Amino acid sequence: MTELLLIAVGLFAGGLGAMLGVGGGILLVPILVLGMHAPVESAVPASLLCVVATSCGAAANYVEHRLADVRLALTLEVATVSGALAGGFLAALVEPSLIAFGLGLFLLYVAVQLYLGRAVRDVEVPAGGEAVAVNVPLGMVGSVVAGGLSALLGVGGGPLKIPLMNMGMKVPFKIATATSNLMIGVTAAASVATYALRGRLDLHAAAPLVVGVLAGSVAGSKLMPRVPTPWLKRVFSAFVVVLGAQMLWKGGTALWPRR
Amino acid sequence: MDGERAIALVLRAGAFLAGLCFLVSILLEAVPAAPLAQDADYLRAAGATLLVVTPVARLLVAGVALGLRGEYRYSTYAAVILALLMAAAGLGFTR
Repeated sequence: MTELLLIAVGLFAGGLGAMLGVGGGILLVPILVLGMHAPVESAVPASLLCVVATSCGAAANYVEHRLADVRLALTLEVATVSGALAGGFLAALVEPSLIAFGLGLFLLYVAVQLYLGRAVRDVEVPAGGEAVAVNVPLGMVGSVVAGGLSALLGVGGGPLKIPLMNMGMKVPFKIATATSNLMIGVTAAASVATYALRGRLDLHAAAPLVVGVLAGSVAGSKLMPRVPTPWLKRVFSAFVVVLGAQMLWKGGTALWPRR
Repeated sequence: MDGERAIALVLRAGAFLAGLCFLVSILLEAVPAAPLAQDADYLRAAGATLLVVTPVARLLVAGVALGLRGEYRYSTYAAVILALLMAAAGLGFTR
């Protein structure tokens, strides 16, 4: 019975994660910890394994149908992984709560901009699938920052890089989410390997989730091209608001700890 | 076969085989015969390994495919990403 419930949770998280390019970790960790009383230390690696599963399941369709831009993904991945390494070194030197607070405010601003649809091309799937990104240097710098913030604060790359690609690099929203799906698998796989090497990956609990996530991500990637872009943007904005609120909470509680 | 199709094939094969391993492991444990539990553990480990290896294989295939098209810049990017990821995983920085 628990397995069936976990498969259903995985289906939902995988489907939504594939359509929005966020991997599903932002959904899975709260569901596992708050809803199923799983310890955080096992929920986080399990959710990361599910992010890899979402990426593999969804990106196959996206790449085949030229919805994910392989060149853009490679370009931004170099910057993101460099930023993640730099963030890992900086973690010991800076106060994460201040950065979390600032990121929270920034994410709320991004969510409002996305929701209102300002300064963003609202293009459906372009013919031939090739979208030309502009402001590549901005994208590289933004990806270094996104990678650094991921390492410092444990936030996934998708909610940061999709607005960066869409608003900063003028990449159509669906191309941005599909490309994000392709990118998140690589960094999540490295994280999973790290957890596995430390013996902190509970595969028994993760197995039904992965099965559900794989099925959900394949279904989500088939559905996404048919979903209107404004609808996707609104749901994505809601995700960014949740993440922004989490960051404000994280920053606020660290700045003013309870006595 | 063009590069995109090759990348899609790698991702799809990895996802399918990993999913199959995990699914069979669940089914094996549903059978009330204790000796199968060990096999389920092996299958889960195989599934997780396949999942982790698949995005890395995708990077390799992308690097080779774009290199064969003469797009050496992206092949270099793929090689740099792989090197950085190995460093990141080794140092334990990624989450």
